[in-house]
Amino acid sequence: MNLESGHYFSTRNIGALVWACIEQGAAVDAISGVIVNRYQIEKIDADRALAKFVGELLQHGLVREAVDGENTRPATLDDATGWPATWSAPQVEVYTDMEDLLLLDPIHDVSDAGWPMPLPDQPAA
Amino acid sequence: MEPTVSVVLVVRNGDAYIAEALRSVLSGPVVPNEVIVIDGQSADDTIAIASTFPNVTVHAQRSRGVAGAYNEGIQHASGMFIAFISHDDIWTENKLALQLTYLQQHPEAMGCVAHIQHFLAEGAEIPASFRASLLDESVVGYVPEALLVRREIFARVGLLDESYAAAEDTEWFARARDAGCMIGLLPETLLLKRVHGANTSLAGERLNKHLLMALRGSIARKRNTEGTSPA
Repeated sequence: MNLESGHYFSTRNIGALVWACIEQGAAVDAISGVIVNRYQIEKIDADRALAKFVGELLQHGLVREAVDGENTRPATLDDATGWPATWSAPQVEVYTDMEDLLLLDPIHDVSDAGWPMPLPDQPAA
Repeated sequence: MEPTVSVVLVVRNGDAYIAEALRSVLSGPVVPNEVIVIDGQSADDTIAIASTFPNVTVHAQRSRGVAGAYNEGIQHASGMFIAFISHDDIWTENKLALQLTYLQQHPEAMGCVAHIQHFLAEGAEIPASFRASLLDESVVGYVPEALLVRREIFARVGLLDESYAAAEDTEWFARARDAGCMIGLLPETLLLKRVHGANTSLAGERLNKHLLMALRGSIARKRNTEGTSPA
């Protein structure tokens, strides 16, 4: 969800698992290795699919490239459950249909501190 | 047939502002047939003040939260059209008239919102987390307080979902959109929203979580025909 653009995003296929690997700090090449190992596909196909997926994530400002000196970690989701049984390339989906709801809604235009928000124990306004 | 309008006002300890809110609702060229005040156990003079206004009925809230209060008001409302206000808001004099005219001229619309303007309460300081530039500009207001709807919309879309806390309005508007309900946007500024210290309690992280949940629900509805769930 990008409250500056009013766009929100979802992924298809193994996108969520690739995202989880990225969140762990895994390098794209390491994720590619996991995919090759799991789905027995050609490395070049995995690389190509990941390059497209990560390129779109970059384009939408959802991830950034690691800078020199930042350590990457291994992709440790290799044994995680949730991987689809068959290979299909990860996809990013961009939704713009709620742009006006999200972009211009001042009530939700809040900093990290947030405003306004009812106290959990408040019965009403 | 003359259109009938119900206004739902939600309040908790609002004796400082509720009279001004009610005056704004009742002083326009089009006056609602009833004002339903849902009171969340006010400990101040809220109920006494509200009771001095004509066509106002006060109901003690049984549910919790703002969404619950609005839902109770909707269930009490008998009008063909329903509008909303919080005790600390002010409608412009022409709000109801313009919105009613719009819906009468646009049978395809199930409701309409308008632009809204924030203003700082007298003596109040800008809350640290509130974007101060909002005080200088009128913005699109997809909030219940800027909304006038045909009552049938709640049969199609459902009530507010009380589990979404402060994102319940966005969640409802998203649900209405996914259900194909057209909600028009008027160019005029028809709602003044008061910014003051007491309308805040701060938990943006939780709000964002609820917004994400609302959007996830919308993606799920859009994918529904395909039989897949969002990743």
